Amino acid sequence: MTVLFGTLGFRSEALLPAIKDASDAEKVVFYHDHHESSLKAKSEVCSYCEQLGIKAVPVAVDDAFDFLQLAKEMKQDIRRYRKEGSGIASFNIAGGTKLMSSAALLVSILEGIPATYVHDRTLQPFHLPLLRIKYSETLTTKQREILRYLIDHRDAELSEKELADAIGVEKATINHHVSKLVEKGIVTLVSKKGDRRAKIVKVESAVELLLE
Amino acid sequence: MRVRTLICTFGFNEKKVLVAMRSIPYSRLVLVAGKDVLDGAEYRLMVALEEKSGGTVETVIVDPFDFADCYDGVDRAIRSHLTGGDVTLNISGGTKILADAAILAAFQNGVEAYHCEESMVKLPVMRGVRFEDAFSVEDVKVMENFVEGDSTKSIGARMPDLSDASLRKSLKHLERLGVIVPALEKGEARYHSTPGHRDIAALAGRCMR
Repeated sequence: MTVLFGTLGFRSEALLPAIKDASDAEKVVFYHDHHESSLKAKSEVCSYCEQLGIKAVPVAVDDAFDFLQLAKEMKQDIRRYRKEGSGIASFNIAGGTKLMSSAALLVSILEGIPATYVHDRTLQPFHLPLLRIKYSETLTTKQREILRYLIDHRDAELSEKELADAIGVEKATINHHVSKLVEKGIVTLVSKKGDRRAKIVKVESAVELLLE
Repeated sequence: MRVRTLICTFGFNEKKVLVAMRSIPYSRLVLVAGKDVLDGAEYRLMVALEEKSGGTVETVIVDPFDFADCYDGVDRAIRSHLTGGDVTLNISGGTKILADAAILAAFQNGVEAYHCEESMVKLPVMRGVRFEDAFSVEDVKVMENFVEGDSTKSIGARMPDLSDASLRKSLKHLERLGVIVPALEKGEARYHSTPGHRDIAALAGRCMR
């Protein structure tokens, strides 16, 4: 089974040419929100697929502006289809909100999926020059461990000392790795409430997407 | 002192960029926009606001409906300002295609990217991790010598200095990155560029810059 993924906004024309272009696709999984115009576009896509004998799987998203949730959902779906043995034809990212499209673009880069964009005016799909980037491979094992701990304890206000104790390493080791993560822009040191001299280690939002 | 450059995609709504200007510290502002935008009151307002605060606006003109042109414009702006400075990107303004091209440029150049509208969303970019870093010296050489439909043997014949093991390793790596794809033709594996990377020589050139 070959699956085409797509994002959908108010215009079915942003997805239909990609379906036509992906001649081997047997199933189309597309993300849309609950807006009246999106629902109308969804019906048009479903009707088009039905006529062509392609299975349409519309996925309604709760919030088309929640980047992290959208990216997580898309990533999970892609992995699930792959696990079930499906091949992924491509991800058409032309429809939906900018954040929906951005989430699809990031997921395509992380998962190594070809991405297409249906041109707004010509309605011709074109292939985006993506390169698969495995961000986790640019981190050391210890850095990944630190990030994983920070993500799992996002609400905890951990100082570098507390983080070192939790992970079971020397403070100097944590200090070294945290500095590297700060340089990469995925961790920040912020002042603790009530004690501006004390710094707590905070992980940036959506970093978990880069780790898996 | 390092210069902090804020690069914003820009359309006909100045509010989308004003939020970023208020939220992200910067000392130099670059707007990436379509030609038509320059005649608009919104653009004039942006220039006037910057001038009042002692700054100037650098404008990069692109075709906001042409992905490749948008990508090249943003990529050029990022690279020129990364030398000796820090770059942050905001993608809330302009067309969606411009925003997507800008995000791709941000991911591939390892610069921070935001979407600032009602709330500020930081996109997960790992600073300093550039697409060039994914390629070894051997990978770049293989891309420079690559001819559509090459087999391991045919490309190897044009690169006698590269060992067979290194060549196979590079081809495997380029396949994993999504640059080339093998196809079995008359019992032999032949490599083709993927639809997103039809100009592999240009990609190699970008790695050399």
